[in-house]
Amino acid sequence: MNERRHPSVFVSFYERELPRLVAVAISLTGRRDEAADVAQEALLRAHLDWPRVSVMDRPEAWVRRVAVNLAIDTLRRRQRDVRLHERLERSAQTWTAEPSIDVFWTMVRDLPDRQRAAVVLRYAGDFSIEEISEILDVRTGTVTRSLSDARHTLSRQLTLGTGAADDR
Amino acid sequence: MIDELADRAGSAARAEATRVVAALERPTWLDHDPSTPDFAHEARPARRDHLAGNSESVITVDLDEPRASLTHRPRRRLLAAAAVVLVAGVITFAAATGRNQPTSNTNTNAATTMLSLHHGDRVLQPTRTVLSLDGYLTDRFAVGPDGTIVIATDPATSANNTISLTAVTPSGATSQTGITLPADGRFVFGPGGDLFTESTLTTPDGKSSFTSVRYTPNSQGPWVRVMSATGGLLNSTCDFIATPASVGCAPGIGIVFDPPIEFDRVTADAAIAAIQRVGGPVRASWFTTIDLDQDVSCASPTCSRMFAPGPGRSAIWFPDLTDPPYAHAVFVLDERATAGSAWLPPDITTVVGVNGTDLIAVQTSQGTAHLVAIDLTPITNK
Repeated sequence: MNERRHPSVFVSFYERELPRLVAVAISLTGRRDEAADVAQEALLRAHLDWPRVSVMDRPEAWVRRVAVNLAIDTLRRRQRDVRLHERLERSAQTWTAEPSIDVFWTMVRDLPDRQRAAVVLRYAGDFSIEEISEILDVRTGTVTRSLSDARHTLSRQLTLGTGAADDR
Repeated sequence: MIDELADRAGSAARAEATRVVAALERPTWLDHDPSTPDFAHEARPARRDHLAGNSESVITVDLDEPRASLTHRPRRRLLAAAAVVLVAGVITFAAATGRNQPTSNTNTNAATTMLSLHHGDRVLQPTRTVLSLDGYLTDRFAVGPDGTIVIATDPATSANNTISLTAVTPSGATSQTGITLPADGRFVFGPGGDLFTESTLTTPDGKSSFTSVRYTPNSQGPWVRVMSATGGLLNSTCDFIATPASVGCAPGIGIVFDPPIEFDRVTADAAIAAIQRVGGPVRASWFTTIDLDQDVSCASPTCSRMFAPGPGRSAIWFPDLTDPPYAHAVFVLDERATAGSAWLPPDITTVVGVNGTDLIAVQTSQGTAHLVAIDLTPITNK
């Protein structure tokens, strides 16, 4: 058996990727339970397809992309459903951080898809520009521009909201 | 300031993720070989139970009873093997909603597949009546692969939430059966006559479970009922069907699944097409749900009708069938990811599906409802 396909390799892969996938998903969805679901769903898909995924150059990029897409899909479904959204607002599973951070992630979740994913991967996932480029399957310049645009939007919104932010 | 806040927010997210991960049970599927037959039943239980409880319900159907009663029982979430299936067909797209003209779109994702959507400006006319709907308390329809049409009555007007299902073959033979839904239970047809029923016992996070009942022809009559081994979760307000050879439905989203579907095939198949949003760029994608138009309502009954499976891997998506005085765009995409479009007659109120190259639809002209066939050949030959 190819060493990379050995089950123990997947377990290590799972344990290594899970925390950052959850961090990305929790920032994208704003919910702990959905974040855990998204991360595990992505890893489960990797597990189901491990013989193929394991021989990829960058299996972690594959599973991260799956997680980002799942998280975005999850968020979209929720955003479309007002009633469900109201229920979620009451849910104890909603992640609440300190107010300014909550505001930040709420604004991030309103960004266009690519900008949203780039910001979350950069700050919550702590991924490099190159890694984000690989995960989103776009050029590094696109990532940089997306981050710049996102920062500009967020800065403007913070300024409007608090009157205190500057725009770097 | 924004960078500082972003850094703090990122740190907070990672710290929270650490707490979430610490609370997660080690999933049992880690210890299983996914190629084993029982993997599907072992894979999902560990997921989220620590957070959301274990309150999902699954409808079970007694297949030995002609009118099977549906019961609820708590059950851990099954691994819907079909949940891993992804888009291997072609996703349809309509660029217009409501009374707007469809717009021509030619966009591409350079990394994958170019779509060329041709704007059709002609009105398709029904070519023949398949069945008069007079006398049927009609609500839902499905067209099977052999042309058999399954008609369901409205459960809201039936005693004990029982829906009657009538199958009509292309030769005119009919048979009837019935199924009892849970109180206020919803159902939706998939292609091939699959009937998906959904429990209304939603979990606190707004999800519920479903099962499917499949009708297939055999020697005992036009259709008999068997239960497919599907299970999974639905969005609380939008029917989502995810099985091989079925059509997925979500708000503004349509997906064609083509069996047998494997995840790697999706990533490898450049023919996979996905549409980002109305008026936006047309982009091929390897991944699943696509946001077409957030304004498109996907209330349960009409959602499935917005989307019809086409012959082969083609499919048709209807942006809005809730505005019958106006014609609607039709796009047909084949395996080459080409597309056509046309107007439907304004008196078409419901689209049932596609049988071969015929679009089966409900026409309500002159105060009478008919199931009509509309020849799609000119479109598919584009």
